[in-house]
Amino acid sequence: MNERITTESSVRARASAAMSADQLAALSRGFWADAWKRLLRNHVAMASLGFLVVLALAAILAPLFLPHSYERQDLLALYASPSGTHWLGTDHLGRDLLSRLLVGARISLTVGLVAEFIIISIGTVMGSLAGYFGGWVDTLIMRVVDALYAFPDLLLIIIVMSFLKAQFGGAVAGWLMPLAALNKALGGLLGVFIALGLTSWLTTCRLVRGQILSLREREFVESARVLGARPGRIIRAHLLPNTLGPILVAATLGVPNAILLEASLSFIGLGVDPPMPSWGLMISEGVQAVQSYPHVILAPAIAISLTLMGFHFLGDGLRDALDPLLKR
Amino acid sequence: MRRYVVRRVLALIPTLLLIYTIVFFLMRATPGGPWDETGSRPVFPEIRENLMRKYHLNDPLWKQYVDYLSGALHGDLGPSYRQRGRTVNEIIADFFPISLQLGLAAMVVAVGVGIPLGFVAAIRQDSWIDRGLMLLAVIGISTPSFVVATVMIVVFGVYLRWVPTSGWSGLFSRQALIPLFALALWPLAAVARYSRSSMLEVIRADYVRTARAKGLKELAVVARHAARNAMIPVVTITGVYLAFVVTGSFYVESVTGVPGLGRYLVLSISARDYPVIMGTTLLLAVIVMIVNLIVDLTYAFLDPRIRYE
Amino acid sequence: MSRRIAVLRLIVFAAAVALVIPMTAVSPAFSQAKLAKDQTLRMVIREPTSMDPNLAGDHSIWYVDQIFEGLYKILDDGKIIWLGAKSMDVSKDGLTWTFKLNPSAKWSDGKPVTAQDYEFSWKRAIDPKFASDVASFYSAIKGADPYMSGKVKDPNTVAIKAVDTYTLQITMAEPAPYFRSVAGLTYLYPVPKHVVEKFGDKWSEAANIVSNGVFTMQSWKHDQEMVLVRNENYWGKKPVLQKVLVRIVPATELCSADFRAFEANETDFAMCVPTADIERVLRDPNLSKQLTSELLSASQFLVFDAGRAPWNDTRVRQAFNLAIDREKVTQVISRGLYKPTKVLVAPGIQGYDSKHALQGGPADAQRLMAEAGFPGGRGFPAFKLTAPDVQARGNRVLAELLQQMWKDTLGITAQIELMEPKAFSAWRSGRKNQPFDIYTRGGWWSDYEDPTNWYNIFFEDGWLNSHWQNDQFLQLVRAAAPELNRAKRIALYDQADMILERESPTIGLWYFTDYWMRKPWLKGLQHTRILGFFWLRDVTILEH
Repeated sequence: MNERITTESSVRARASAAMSADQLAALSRGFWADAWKRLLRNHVAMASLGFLVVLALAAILAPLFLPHSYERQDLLALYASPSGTHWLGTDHLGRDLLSRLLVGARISLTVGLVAEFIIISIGTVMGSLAGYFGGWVDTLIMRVVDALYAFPDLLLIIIVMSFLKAQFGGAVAGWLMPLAALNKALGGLLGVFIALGLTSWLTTCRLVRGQILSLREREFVESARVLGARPGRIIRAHLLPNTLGPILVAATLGVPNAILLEASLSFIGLGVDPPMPSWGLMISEGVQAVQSYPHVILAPAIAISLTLMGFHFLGDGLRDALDPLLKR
Repeated sequence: MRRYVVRRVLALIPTLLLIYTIVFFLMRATPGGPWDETGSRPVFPEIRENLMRKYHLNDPLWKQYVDYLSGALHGDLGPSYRQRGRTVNEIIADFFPISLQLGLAAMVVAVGVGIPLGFVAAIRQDSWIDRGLMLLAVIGISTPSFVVATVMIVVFGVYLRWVPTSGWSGLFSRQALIPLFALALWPLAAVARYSRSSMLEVIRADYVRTARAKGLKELAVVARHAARNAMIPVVTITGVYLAFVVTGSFYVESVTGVPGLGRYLVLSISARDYPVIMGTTLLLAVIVMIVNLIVDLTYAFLDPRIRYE
Repeated sequence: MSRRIAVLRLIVFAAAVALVIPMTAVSPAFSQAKLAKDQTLRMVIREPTSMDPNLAGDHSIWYVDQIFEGLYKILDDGKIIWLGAKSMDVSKDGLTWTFKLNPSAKWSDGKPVTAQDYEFSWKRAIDPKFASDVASFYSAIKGADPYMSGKVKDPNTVAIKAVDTYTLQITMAEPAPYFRSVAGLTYLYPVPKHVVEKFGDKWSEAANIVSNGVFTMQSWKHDQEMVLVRNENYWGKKPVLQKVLVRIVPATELCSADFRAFEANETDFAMCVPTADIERVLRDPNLSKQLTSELLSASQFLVFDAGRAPWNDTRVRQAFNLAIDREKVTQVISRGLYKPTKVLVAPGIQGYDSKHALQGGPADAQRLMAEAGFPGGRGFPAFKLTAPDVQARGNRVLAELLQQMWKDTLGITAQIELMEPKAFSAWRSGRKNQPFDIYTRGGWWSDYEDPTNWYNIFFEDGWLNSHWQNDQFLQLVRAAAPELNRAKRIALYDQADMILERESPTIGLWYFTDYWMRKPWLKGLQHTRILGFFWLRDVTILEH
């Protein structure tokens, strides 16, 4: 296996060294087109993509067609079973579960996508710097990565979240003010993003660094360097496009983790601020009533499972589509 | 090899120091101290003052930082604020073995069941077995553990009464079944998925094809050639989950009433029990790092071409 | 005893009877039933933070109370049961209190409980180096405050004295009639001097502990299990119950774990029913018979920042008060098991009178808001409702309910601000001189049944930080606290309460109740209104 990879990649590297930049771009374009074609043929992945798009649209457009408000309480209909008026029933305050589910989808999807975006950005920048420059930059970054790796994730997140919740809770003054405003705009989820940003970029960073290390010594990079391109440009134009595949796959598979993490934090009261719903909050509220009113947990649990499945299958599909070994 | 291990162990020191520093200052910066009222009664200012003095919380911050560190280096992790009369050392000695046992058992289950399932799915790629198993795996990954544990307790504890609804009486008791399963489910699903994909790659490799062409039986091919090479990514993922699982899952431990370190730590954070938080974090960090080291060394064992110097 | 109090007692009793009907209705049928061979009670609790009476200030007192006893115990009807003491004598000036101890009282190792034990324990509790938060209960004693705060180093200056082996004498700094309600509390239970001196901090571990209650501790595996057994050296009537098997679960999951264990028949007694499950219990023909809701001397309330606009306008506070539908609130929070109240203090506290409550409804609330210059809520500034995020006390749900009710009736939207509990305490203590809008802290439980535990702590000590200034009210409660004439004292607090309710710097919402589940074979379990102690000494298990 290893032998084959080496031969194949060295052939490719030699070929690319002989090519001009235009040709290289064309090849790269061809590669993405091929990958897209392969993805189109993967029915499971396409179905997942379709589902996620529909879900995102539903979440965005929800206020236009929802018959009930997500925060309107009906104290005469606590824990109502699914019916014609409330398709999925109501929660402990008599609020419509369908409306909350769709509004909650916004929060959960935002958490997943924004968190992942942060993770990828930090991870990619750090990984490229470490991989390209090597030396003390590499040592420094990798030491920090190692240290954070040794930090029990959830613990750091809980500590950071407790810190932020406590800080933003009271009268906020000084430099924290803009942060507190941002936090409020995000429904109290700024902490989740910061916590995720702190702990989850490590894997991406290692991944990117590894890729860049192996690409750095290739001839086409060497020639660009000889031609006088600056490091920033080399990284952006030559190295990153070639690492995009693995990053994309990692991102798709990382979104579910962020969504799940939000659910876990809601369970210990470190999630969104009321009356904002999120799937995680709905699940943890549902768990409390699971014995007497099982319908309350069913909807958010199924929604979260389907969504995470969607991301997983899409991620798998992407990996297969981008895997050079499959390229015939 | 030995030099590599020594270097890795030495690297523990700055890392631990960094973690200690982060947690120390983060906890002190968090509003609310250990003696802010939590129950229903005002704490007299004089009494608060006495408590602060007793536990040296009036000292300058740098002194507290140094004092705790030097205590920790001498193996004394300090007294618990929340449970008067108990020390952090005692608390760790009580709870950590339980988290460790349960975590290791869960990993044994996850690896013991996950790898064979993944391999079977890979060999029968695209069959209904493959699809069914992977669907189950994705469901396993996407269900929060506290939901799994709660539902199992309600079904098997309250309704069927096969197992007690909570509590702990050792790893080899009926009580341990639900936490074990709830804890193992996530890594199991992940291990199964990784073993499948890494097995698929290996099966496609030339030397395996050659072996198959030579007429070796499928099973023999897998057993003799493929399995060992397919293990490397599996070891990586196992390492990630091992560190996660032996440090104790707050969620599973809370819901099932297992007296483990994970749940204790979270309670300590909300009680601002500084010494417990510091002591346990340091312990957990050491464990995570040791697990990572073991994982790296396992690579060398699995693939002799990987060498450390 | 005044007639008013008698009437009051009647009301309380009637309420208690109404709540306990399911229990009493079934008991005669079982009264002839045989006792079970195995007299073991099984239950679920959360880990005590300490089993040392000198330290236990939180929920641990419930378990301390099973294995230790103090001078006496005051029952819900006000009667004293003499335990460690035989009698109590208060001098005419109300300053010197003399307790004659019960000479037959023994520690579980057979040694007698002496006045020296009491002197040792009480001085230990207020020792500044020991730094226990139960010390606040001793502050009425002469010399206690200076010693506690470290101003005076000599413990002999504290007026707690063992006159002889069985006579304990204390002197007060000033008359403190409330001490009668305090002297019998767990915080003043004695510890065995000889054991504490021998084992130090570790004396309250199972291997070393020696106690003087009807039960004693056999084992304690931290955060797992505790076993209590009958104390064979107990001086009085020994309980029928031989053993109490206690499973310890994490605090965060206490309620659901407790109730599930009960439903799965793993325990005989549960102290909690999760809100979501109450309705199912009430509908179930069997479970509903096992549920009782026992009134506590505890209430849930809101606090305004009455020191600044718009909250310094009484009409605004009254409007907010009248806009709340308490029946609905308790229905959602407890399925009606908590008792709605429009007044702050709990029944049983001198000064309490439900007739003091502000009269009116939503229409009056709207009128008052208009009068205050905010018709339909127009022009009202943005404001926050702050609460600690303690799931078990329903703060989140309460905040969401109030937000909706005020929005519907007054046309204004509160911004809910839930804080992590410790951060909330820090924030709340910081409100001494800082502005806020409205907060709820999740209730107040009487530590002892005396008005000082409410009016004086809340407003004279200013612990609520409500910034409410009413000189007439303050004069009344200041004069009432040391008043030795009972009738006069009640009259003073009564007047104060009237002012308090009219001015509404706080809004009472409901009285907490304990909702307990008991298996039909569990008999003789008693509940106390103060802090919801459960008395196991008369419990018997019937054959089942």
